[in-house]
Amino acid sequence: MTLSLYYPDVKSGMRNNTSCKQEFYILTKKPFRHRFHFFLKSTSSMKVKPYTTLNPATVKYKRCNVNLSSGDLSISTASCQNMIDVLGGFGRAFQILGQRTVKHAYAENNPLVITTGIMTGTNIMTGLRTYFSAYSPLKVSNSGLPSAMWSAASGKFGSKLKWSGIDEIIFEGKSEKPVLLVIKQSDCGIKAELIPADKLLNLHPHDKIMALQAQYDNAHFAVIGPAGENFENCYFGAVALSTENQLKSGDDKSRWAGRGGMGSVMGSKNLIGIVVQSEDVKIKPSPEIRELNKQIVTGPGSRKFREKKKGGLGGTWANYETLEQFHYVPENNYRPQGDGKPELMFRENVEHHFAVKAENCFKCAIACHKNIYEKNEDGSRGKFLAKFDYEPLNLLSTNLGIHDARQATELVALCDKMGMDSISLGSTISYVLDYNERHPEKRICNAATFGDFSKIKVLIENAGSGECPEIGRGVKRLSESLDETEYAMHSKGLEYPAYLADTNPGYPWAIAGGHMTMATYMLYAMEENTSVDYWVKAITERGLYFVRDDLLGVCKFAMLDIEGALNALEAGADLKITEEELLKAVRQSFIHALWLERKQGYTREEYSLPTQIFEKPNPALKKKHFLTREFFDQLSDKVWDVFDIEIDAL
Amino acid sequence: MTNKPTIIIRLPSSLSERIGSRGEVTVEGHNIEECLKAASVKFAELEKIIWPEKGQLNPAILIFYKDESVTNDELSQAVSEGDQIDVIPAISGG
Repeated sequence: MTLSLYYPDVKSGMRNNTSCKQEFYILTKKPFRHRFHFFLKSTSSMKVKPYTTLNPATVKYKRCNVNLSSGDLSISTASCQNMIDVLGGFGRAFQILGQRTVKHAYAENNPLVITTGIMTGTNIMTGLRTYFSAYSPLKVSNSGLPSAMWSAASGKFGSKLKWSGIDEIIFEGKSEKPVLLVIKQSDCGIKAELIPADKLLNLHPHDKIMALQAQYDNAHFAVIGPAGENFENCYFGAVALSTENQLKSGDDKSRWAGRGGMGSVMGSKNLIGIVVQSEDVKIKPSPEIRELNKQIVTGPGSRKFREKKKGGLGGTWANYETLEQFHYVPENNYRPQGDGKPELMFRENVEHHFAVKAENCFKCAIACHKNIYEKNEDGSRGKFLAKFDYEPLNLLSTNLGIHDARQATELVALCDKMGMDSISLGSTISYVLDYNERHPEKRICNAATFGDFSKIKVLIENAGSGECPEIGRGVKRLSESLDETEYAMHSKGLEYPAYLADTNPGYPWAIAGGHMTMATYMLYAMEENTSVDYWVKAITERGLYFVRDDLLGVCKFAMLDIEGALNALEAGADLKITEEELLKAVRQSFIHALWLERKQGYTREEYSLPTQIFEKPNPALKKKHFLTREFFDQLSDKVWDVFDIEIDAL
Repeated sequence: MTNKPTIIIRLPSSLSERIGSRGEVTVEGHNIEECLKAASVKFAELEKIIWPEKGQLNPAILIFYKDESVTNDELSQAVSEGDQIDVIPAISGG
């Protein structure tokens, strides 16, 4: 099956060669350089008027519509309805999702919306983000309805998409057979086509990317792995986005849109991957952009993620050392033991046995990827093994009772090979191990317990291959089926990242994953404040603005302050708006996401924490236990007093 | 007593939001401790974050001076005109 769509040069009178339904957005024969130069001094493809009194309707963007059921493809021009549309990212996608009535994540009418942010593909450092949004198979309310989710990733796919001239792709329906969407520049403009993808089935994501690279020069890729293909039994399939480093080295170094099962939604549509083949848009950065990039890479915000020799802390991995001071490193299903074992995974201890190299996404000098290699006898780097970020490392090692770095490399790499979200996978397995420790007489799955590396490895393989739906469908369903929910570490069906719920009453209000959409996960360790009013403000006044960068297309590791973000919008995307306009758009996007949760049946009672947090405080934790049921109920009432008014006003 | 050098204390967005989204605070002081205390006088929120317990730096906060992390014992290090001190949270994820 090959369905293709060409966008011809209108001046040369070339004919459209397809019978697909379509609205035309006519590109010139040499659309890219000319168009970008004409519209913008940046590399963004959106046309934005540089006025504070911007009328969003004057801003246009290009959408590729793909109906996988019929095979129809079209590229249309859309007008922005509001500032959220202008900024893009999850905000624009959620506005599309909000217009749909979707009762099941794998229903044909659940659209998969792939968006970029306004700064994706610009010269602003970290402007690389791609957002995958849909109703999630994992984030499902007690009413059974799926809720909207997004997951973001860097790599170079988003930039390539933007440079191809497309800002957004909406996939509708389901293909009968496995397909690949290929978007590429051709002599007559953009060519978009669906081609068979049977040969890619069952391959690991990295192998899919390597196979596609052999076929498509100068392209980048978004693919699913076995987990996404086995979507019926694995709800947390992730999407792998290719990186320059990966394509050059041949090592498995994808970036991941992991949370919420967006890879599983892709799999349910029989969409195995997306190829974007376009020329890099190379525009010399303006002095303003050079200055901003210098601030990003030398400023305080990125210190955490830079190498020590560059005045940094060495990456998110350094959380181990900070959190262990308080016994806050999750161990044995988020139940730190106070036994000092997390120290075995400190970077300095791992570096005794392995070589660690800081590597980067496209044109990003922060170099946050901490890649682990075999260490040769002379100290040089050998074979690539895995990438150690704090969350995947913790949830696939210490939190499973694994304290051996080599075993950790194997488990992290295996999770990537199967194409799964390491947070949901690790959290669900830790629940299984906990259950089995508590019930030696009726163990589940393969009877694995904490620290049993061989059995845990089998669980990961089985979850990804669809042979262990108990794990693959996430901890909410598993714990409810076992009628033992008190130590299932999730809120609203989304498993917690590697920060203790004992220290974070903000988790329930995170809209798309506990730590990236509500910046309260680190507060108790930092400030130890136990006032209800402090936490109300932390959630409703500060924490929610953490989603800002998921509108803009930049990575949170840039840690732009508000002035930096406004400057980046102006310098990178010719968008001059006020602080108030930006914050309003961010807040509205967040409140809209809460509205969407309500629309999909979430009740107040579902905004809660596992009862173990309230009823069985962990004596190993060094700071005072403050999260009682009474505290949380008071907090909840006050948080809803704020949010309810805004949700009702939408 | 010589004139105190003027230095800049830089904060990432996760902390600057606590003091009105100011990413930089200009203060005067002879050493790192004096500078941090001067900033804390200007912004009480900063004192709570940097020194939750009297005399001890917050273990979940890091102070960087000239690209090196500074411990409690090194706070008396002299600073020079135009230097920068970074105050950053030691916990952040991705």
